[in-house]
Amino acid sequence: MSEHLIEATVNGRKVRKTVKAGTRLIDFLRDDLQLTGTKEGCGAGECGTCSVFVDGKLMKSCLMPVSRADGTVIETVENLSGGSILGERTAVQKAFHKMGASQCGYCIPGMVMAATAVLQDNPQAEREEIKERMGGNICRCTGYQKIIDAVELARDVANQIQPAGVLDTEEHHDDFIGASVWRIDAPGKVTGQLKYAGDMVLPGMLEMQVLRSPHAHARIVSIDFSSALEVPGVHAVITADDVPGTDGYGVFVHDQPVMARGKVRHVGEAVAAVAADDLQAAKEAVRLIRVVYEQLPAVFDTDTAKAPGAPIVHDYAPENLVKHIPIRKGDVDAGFAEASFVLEHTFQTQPVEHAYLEPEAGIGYVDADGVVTVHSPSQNITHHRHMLADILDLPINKVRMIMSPVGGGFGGKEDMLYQGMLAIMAMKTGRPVRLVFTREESITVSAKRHPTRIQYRMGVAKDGRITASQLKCESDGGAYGCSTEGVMRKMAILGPGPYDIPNVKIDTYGYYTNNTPSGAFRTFGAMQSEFSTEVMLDLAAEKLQLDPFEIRRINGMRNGAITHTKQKLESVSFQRVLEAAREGSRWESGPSSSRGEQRKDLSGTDIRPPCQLGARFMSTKPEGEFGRVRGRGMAASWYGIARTATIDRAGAWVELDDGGTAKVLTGVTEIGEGILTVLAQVAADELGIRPENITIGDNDTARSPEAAHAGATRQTYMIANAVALACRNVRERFDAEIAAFWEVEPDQLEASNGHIRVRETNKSMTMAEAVAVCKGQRGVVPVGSGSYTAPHTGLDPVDGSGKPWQAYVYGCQVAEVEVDTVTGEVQVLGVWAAHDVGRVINPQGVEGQIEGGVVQGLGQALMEDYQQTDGHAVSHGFDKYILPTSLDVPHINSIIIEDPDPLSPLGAKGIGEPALVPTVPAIINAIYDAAGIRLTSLPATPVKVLAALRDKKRMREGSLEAAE
Amino acid sequence: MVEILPNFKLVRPKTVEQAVAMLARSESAKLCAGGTDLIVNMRHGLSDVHTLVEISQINEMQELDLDDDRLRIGAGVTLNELARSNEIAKSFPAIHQACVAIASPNHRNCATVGGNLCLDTRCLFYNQSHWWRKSNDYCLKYRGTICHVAPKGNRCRAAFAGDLAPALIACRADIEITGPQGKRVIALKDFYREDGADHLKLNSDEIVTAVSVKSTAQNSAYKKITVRGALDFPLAGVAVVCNQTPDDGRSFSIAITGTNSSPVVIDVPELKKDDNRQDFFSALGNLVKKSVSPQRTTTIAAHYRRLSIAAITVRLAKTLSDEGSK
Ligand SMILES: Cc1cc2nc3c(=O)[nH]c(=O)nc-3n(C[C@H](O)[C@H](O)[C@H](O)COP(=O)(O)OP(=O)(O)OC[C@H]3O[C@@H](n4cnc5c(N)ncnc54)[C@H](O)[C@@H]3O)c2cc1C
Ligand code: SF4
Ligand code: FES
Ligand code: FES
Repeated sequence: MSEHLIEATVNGRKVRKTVKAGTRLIDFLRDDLQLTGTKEGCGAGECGTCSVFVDGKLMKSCLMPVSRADGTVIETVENLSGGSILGERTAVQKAFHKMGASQCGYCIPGMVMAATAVLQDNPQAEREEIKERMGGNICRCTGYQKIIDAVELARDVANQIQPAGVLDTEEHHDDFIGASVWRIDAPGKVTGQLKYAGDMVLPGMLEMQVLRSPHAHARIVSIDFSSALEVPGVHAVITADDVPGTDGYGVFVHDQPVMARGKVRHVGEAVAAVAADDLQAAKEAVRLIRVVYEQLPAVFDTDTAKAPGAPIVHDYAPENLVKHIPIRKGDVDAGFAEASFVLEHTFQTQPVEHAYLEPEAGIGYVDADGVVTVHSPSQNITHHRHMLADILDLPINKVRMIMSPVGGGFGGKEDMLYQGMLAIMAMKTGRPVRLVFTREESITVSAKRHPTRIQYRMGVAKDGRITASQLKCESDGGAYGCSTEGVMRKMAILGPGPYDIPNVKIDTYGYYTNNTPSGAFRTFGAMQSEFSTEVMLDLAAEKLQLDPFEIRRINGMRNGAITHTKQKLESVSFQRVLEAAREGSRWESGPSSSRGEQRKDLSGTDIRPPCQLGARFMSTKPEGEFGRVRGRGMAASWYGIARTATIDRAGAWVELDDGGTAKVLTGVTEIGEGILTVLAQVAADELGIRPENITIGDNDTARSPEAAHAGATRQTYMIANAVALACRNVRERFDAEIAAFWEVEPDQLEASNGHIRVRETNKSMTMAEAVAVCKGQRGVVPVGSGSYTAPHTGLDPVDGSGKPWQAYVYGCQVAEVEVDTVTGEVQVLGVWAAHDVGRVINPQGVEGQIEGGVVQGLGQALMEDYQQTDGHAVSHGFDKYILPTSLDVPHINSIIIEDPDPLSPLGAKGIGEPALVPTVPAIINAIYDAAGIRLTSLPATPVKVLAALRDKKRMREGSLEAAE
Repeated sequence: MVEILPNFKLVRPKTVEQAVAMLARSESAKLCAGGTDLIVNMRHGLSDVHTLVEISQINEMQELDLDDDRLRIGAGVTLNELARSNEIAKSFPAIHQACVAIASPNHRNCATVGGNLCLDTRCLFYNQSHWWRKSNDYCLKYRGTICHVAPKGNRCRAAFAGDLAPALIACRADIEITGPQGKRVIALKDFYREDGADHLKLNSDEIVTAVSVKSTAQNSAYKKITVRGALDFPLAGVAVVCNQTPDDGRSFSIAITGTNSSPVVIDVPELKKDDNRQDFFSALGNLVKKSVSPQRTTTIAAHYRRLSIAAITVRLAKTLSDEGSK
């Protein structure tokens, strides 16, 4: 083994260490120097989370052997603020904080380094240059807009165009609801101090590695790990035989074993795991495990899966059906008969990877009380605890799940993929055990968005009314059930869109196959079915020579509408949202027949210029404009808030604490969307103190009350209401004591901004004094609790009727695209996104969700595609599974509509998921407007665009010939 | 799954001579420049390197000279250094445009010109982890016996996807190679071989030390096809140099990357002043389509790469010939 003596200056300090020559700079920084602000998102140069300065130049530390860094000067993100969260932050870091540029935060240290490099190289860099220079850094959450805004702000401060003070002072509001209060978790993110699971180290910790199946479907004949145990440093090997309790997990059906039991059902399924003193020993031991497989016939598509005689994936489901959801309203045949025409089209969506930049990671250990604890970025600690207790056969209070900061989830971290292995290994070895997935592992084994084929029939009357909609959706659920059942339900309920349709027939089917499992992904199936609806409406509008907004206005739901599940809606903001998008985008009205010709509303000011790499440096344009056409499309959407068709609930405890501060305890799981800031705002507003005086204790099943999962756009709706109710509960108690002290009635009291007073008198105290009175003189600790419930009802199994949600939100987006008809490349230049969110709590946070959702939608519309051949993932790195970069994103104009929910104490609804639903069809409809081609299969890659253009040309030439 | 970087010895020679000697000493020694290609491949278990000969301290390879006669670029020059030169951007637009289209700015701070020219070929079945390749029985290019892309063929069809090579070839660059026998200079277009498993005409003890092109006024451009704006290798890319001939015609020099195991040079006749332009360019498009042979080596379909490269070659050539020579 070759060792190297490294002498380098790291963050201003001389470092001298002997390391293996094969160590990468990133390992050296993270493992040897504990500088964990540098993150490993991909390990292959494809994401930029590992960016550091080497001799003043920005580099990707995952691509550099540390031996090459010998003698260099290295700076990491920790250096910017003096290695401490308390240090003075740089202008770039402060600007990121102020502008709300961080969400999950995983990309942020790398982004901050890249931004610093841009401004060092060119302190006057213009927006387009900034984007170009940050092209090597991927962000999956923010859509880049706020990041680029932040860099521009830092630049302006450096050039004294803006006063330095704007970075330090948060404009003071007394009313915290509706104010863009700065994110409370941003400082830890911009300084690289926040520790994600993979950054954590415990004394005596072992590293775990997993042996994964090379086959899509095979019987396990034998597993021999005797030689693995011989490897020095190896502590234990576990297989399915080591599961102490009832094996099986899943969001709906518990059909997935902790490790393959008897057979493997997809490539990459865990078969065994090894724990060793270090990673190298664990990897070596994994290689020495001998598994004998007997391959079984496998099934890779839904048509084969449902055919008689198909290979059976799970014995309990001999027809490979996971779930069928039917919805029936009226009589579709009568509706079609009444229609002036019936459109029939088939759509196909692709499997999509969540691509959170933080790969799955976790630490499991058994604490001194014998409680089995798993720290991991789990989106659903509540449910994971229940399942783990069964798997481990332990009482529920002997299992504890703690959510570590989540570096992006989007639904992908709802499945309990590895937490079971960690717990079992910790129990078996008696040591803390850590597992960090590689990017390849993460993409290969985590669940995808369900690829779905949608067969659509829509009957439309002459006046534009939809007379009947019939959808048959068939989804590939992959090898395990995961969230398929729920996804089928949401896909069905929301499928026909926010339109008043008298006759509806919907069937969604999820099937088992031997592909990578499909599961929860932002919008939970609604994106797929609503995409097809919105393209169908564009087709219908064109046929009727109607403006696409007009056909939606005609059919759109209004107050009192009856949904497809026969629920009566009280307050429907849809028409308002439509109008806002139309006005905001200055849409030029008119039928779609003008398509392909130059519209007057194109190329306005609120779009970005199309990207041409290196164009800034050139005197002449590299290639003429010919072949490039622009167009606009629009689409609308709706979405249900909180868990579907089942009672939803969340709880919180609050204590008014010494010094006029407060503790809020709730099992909330922040996954980057900003819920902690929202809760601080709500609690501050209710208690009459300031958000910075709120301490939130979250994410721990042993220390905070249940608040359930981060998903279903439910956090603000459910948990903020629970916190508000808990605060009101405290205030009731507290106000009674203070009123008694002042000898007034409690309802004479009011509190705000850290003071409590008696209305219309000069009696007043600071909250700090009041808490001291309450405790010291009245002997009462001011504590309270709150629980909020949304009383949803299940769907009827036959006709699907029911009240799946009490709150609905609506959206409408316009997209402007440029299509290169020579190459088929598509760029999205502008998006106008109008969304109803109920009552806005933090506008900056809402914009962040819209921008991030739009860019995820863009990725799904144009480029992202998880490809498999015979169950083997082909695109399991960020080189082949490609994500939008800063150069690909449009200018996003967010338009926020407030239609408070009458049933919710706060009035707020939500925005986490819905923003990406209309983006995909809006882009697809815009491509049609620009180039006259209609794509029905996603994504609209240059291949498909060019093929469609050629077909169109051929058809035109053909029809010319025929005419001649 | 992706492996830990295998352990190796890293040596850092100060001169080309020392570097050549170090390479000659051991079969499993390999040159490492920026490492942005090599390190990823090594972690995928794609080579048995025991010694890395790292060139960043060889000053003679870091030189970048532009005079009236020639542009000479040391192989160790980083892509960002190359991109930073305004004169090069002005005099050789294609080289500049190719350079700034490579990977991303953070890569270009350490990726070198030599590394870009000597980039390994790429394929869906090759740029994968050891676990993946093993699960799929490896392939011809490394450790296996069949090619998954063209199972009937007996050679590897992995694609060369470097961006700089076509731009330099279209500018008729020469490449300087130094080995134990000293220096040899050959035309860059002759440096490559149409074999995905062995695409460089370079001995294991030889080093590319520089590339050079003649400084003549030129009208040129480079364009690559990708799905997104950064971080993507070219699905196909083309460089076109177009010059005005004395009798007001146009001469073209065209090279293409990303479609074959080596850059493809397109031999184009002159466009005469009185030629029918439409015929000329449609013939050019057909010529490109015939000359390239993209295979199923990327997630994007091969036939698309053929069609689109022909189309953008025509577009670039047309645009440049319209602008006229300067
Ligand atoms: C995410 C990502 C995206 C990328 N995108 C692109 C892209 O768009 N376009 C593109 O062209 N490349 C791309 N690359 C590949 C690579 O970064 C560049 O090609 C880069 O220029 C390689 O240079 P290097 O100095 O890092 O080479 P290295 O990795 O050091 O070397 C590459 C190969 O060349 C050999 N070599 C290096 N220097 C010499 C020399 N002087 N003489 C002889 N042999 C030598 C090495 O032995 C090795 O086999 C990408 C890489 C990554 C990780
Ligand atoms: S072209 Fe064939 S031999 Fe070459 S890397 Fe690809 S699969 Fe392997
Ligand atoms: S971890 Fe280095 S670029 Fe992704
Ligand atoms: S904030 Fe950028 S990846 Fe999450």
